[in-house]
Amino acid sequence: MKEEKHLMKIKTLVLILAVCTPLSAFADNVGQCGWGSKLFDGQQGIAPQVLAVTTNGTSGNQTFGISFGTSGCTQKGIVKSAWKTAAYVDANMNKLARDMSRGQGESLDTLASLLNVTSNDKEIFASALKANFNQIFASDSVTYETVLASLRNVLVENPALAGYATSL
Amino acid sequence: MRITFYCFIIPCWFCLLVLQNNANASPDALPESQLRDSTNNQISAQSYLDELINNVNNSALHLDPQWRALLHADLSSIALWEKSLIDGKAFFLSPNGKTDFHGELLATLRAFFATEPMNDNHPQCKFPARFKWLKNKLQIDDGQIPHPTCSELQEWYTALNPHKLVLVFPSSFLNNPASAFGHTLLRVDSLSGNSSAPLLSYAINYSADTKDENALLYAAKGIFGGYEGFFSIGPYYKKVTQYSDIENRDIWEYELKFTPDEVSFAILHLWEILSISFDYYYFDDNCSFLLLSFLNVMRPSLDLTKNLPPWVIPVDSIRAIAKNQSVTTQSMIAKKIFRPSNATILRHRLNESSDQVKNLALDIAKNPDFKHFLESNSSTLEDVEPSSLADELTNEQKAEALELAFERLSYYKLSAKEVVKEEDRLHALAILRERSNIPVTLPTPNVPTPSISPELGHKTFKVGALVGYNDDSNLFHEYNLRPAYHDLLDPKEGFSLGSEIQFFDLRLRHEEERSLSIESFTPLKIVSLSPKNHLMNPISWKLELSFERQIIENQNDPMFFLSNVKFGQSWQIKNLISYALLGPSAEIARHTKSDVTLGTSGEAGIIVQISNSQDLILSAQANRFSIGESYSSYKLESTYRITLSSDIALRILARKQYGFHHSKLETGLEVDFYM
Repeated sequence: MKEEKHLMKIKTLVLILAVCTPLSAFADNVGQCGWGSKLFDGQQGIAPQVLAVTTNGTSGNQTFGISFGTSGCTQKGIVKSAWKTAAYVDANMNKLARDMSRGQGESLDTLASLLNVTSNDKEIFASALKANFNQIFASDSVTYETVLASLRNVLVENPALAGYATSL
Repeated sequence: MRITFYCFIIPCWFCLLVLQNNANASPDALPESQLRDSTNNQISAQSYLDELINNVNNSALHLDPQWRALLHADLSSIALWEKSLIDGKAFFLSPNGKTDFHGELLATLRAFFATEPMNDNHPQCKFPARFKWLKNKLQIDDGQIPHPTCSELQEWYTALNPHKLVLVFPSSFLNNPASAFGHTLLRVDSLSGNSSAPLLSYAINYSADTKDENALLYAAKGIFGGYEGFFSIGPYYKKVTQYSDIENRDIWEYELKFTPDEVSFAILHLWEILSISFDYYYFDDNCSFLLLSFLNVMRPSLDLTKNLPPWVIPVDSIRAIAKNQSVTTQSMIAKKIFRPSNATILRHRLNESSDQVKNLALDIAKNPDFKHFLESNSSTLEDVEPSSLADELTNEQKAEALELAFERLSYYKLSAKEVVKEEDRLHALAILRERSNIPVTLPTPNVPTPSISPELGHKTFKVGALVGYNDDSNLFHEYNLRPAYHDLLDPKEGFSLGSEIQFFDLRLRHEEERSLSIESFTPLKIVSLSPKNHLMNPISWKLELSFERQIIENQNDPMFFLSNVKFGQSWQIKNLISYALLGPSAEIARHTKSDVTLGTSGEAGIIVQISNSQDLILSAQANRFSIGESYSSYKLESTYRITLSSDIALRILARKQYGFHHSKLETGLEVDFYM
């Protein structure tokens, strides 16, 4: 019993350490940034903080939820540049999925902007993402990390777009 | 030997003594000359500061409009004494800064000369806009003032990279009283790519922190104060998701003509007020008022908050910016962009789609196992004409149907506040997968922009005069006063179709048997008619709280209070909107057997949009009361309205009412002015 408890403690400790030590750009930051939207989830992720009293226009907690504090990922409401793409994908998963399936849309265009895709490459970018939709949105439980990882793979596999993979 | 001793040892000993004394005095004691210099520096710094203070006092700099704007001096029409709109103590460097602008200016100037801390907590870093202005105004010598390192501010400002400001107006959202008049916020665009990706800009928002209280408490606190307001900043895409996708509100984006320098200054000022608390009142000092106060900081000569009506509605704040009161007669609005909501886009697409595609979309949206619908042309809906078996679905049709189906599923199942069901998420994903398999890109829906933008609609305050006849062939005059906002018969351009919000509508009538008296007083009336379409079935509703006259023979039509709420549906075919509503009703009166009478009220009507400037509404209302008193009442009404100019309209009406075993017929001609 005691040994089990010790083991659990160690495991938890390791887990905490793993989350807290900054590794790659987006690998371990669910805890740090407080994100974790799931596809089509009504209220998870960044959105709920905005939707705290969701139907209120002029009232309700319209603060963006992350505007007053400074975490590793934001500073007084501004998302740090290293996190811009991750934050965007996390907050816009539904619309990105929708736009990707159609091969067009403002949310998709905005993602292209974040990755500095040139206007010449925009069409190839859109069609590549649409063709690999099933790979990028592999299941309904994808998170922004898996989406970005799959996206990077898709870009790398396409010679015309491989250069953009480094932004991810 | 003795000479050596006296000439060598003793002077050395003396030197050592002197050195030791100096060492004891201060470990880092400077040589006296340097000491004199640094004291001189301190004296000169102090005297330089004194010089500047004299300058400030002599020029009465605290009266400078820019200083008053930076302090958010209250210039509203009901301001009784000089004070700042800001409450939060962290904003003021002097204890009475909220009311003593002179003292605050002096305290600010002194604070900028502080020699510590030399980081982001230094007043220069905490009040960069004040510093920039004062430094320039007083021509403060760079060599005489400390230079703290404001790294946090630098990082934040660089990330924002401000260049242009856009005023954002999500239109009214009737399902929540706070949003009944819409909302205003600002967007900061940077120089580079944001014209192609406005979603990546940041939005500045002012709102109250209501902590999710119940509606009644919220209403009371909101109206009488009791909430604190805050400015906050965050990604614009979050606001678009909230307003456009979830609340289904159309958004208007007004690009403002402030220069990049002015915008830069506004952002420095934003740093000063982020997370500082303001007084918040729903009818005054609300989001629109505070936003204007914020814009005023960039160009105080605009006097944006002066001469505002006591009730500041968002659209009125846009009007204040559109027709600015400064010397130039140019509007401060450079460009207007219409951003339709998800629901608006969907309604447009449905108008353009064939029935076949719409039925298919419904099938796909309703059945998780939908693939077989795409194989053939079959439909489970009964009211669809049997299609020819020779017809095959084109890829375009399949793509359209799948996209529409996703929108419908999204609207009903994914935007819900509760946790989304796993089966619905899988269903949605399956639809998207299927869509991604179709190698067709549909043309972008070309949603028409409304003929005019909201600030060009009729103005908020209505004054009307009516002349009419009742069935005794007696002439009567009626006068109408309504502070806000819009009813179904007001000129419709610039407003959401089918929406009505009336606050404190007062009608005074003078007829033969009765001198000028209140005919009706309606504290509140809200109507929301959302036509049902192939894929969406929203609820239409009406809420009414009103004092009216009961029609009783020989009893001088006594007043009573009615309250009712009705729910139902509305439909739209071309330019006709029809509706049917039903709901509980309560009447409080002194002339009935019991004070309170309860019953049911039903209403049906048709709105005929004859043209952009002409509308006709025919309506029938029936009330049946059974608890407290047993009686029925009816009203048949037909009103025609023609818009004569942007703020003048004419109505012709006919009304037949049955009350307490008595009926009344009235016809009239009304002229309405909006101001």
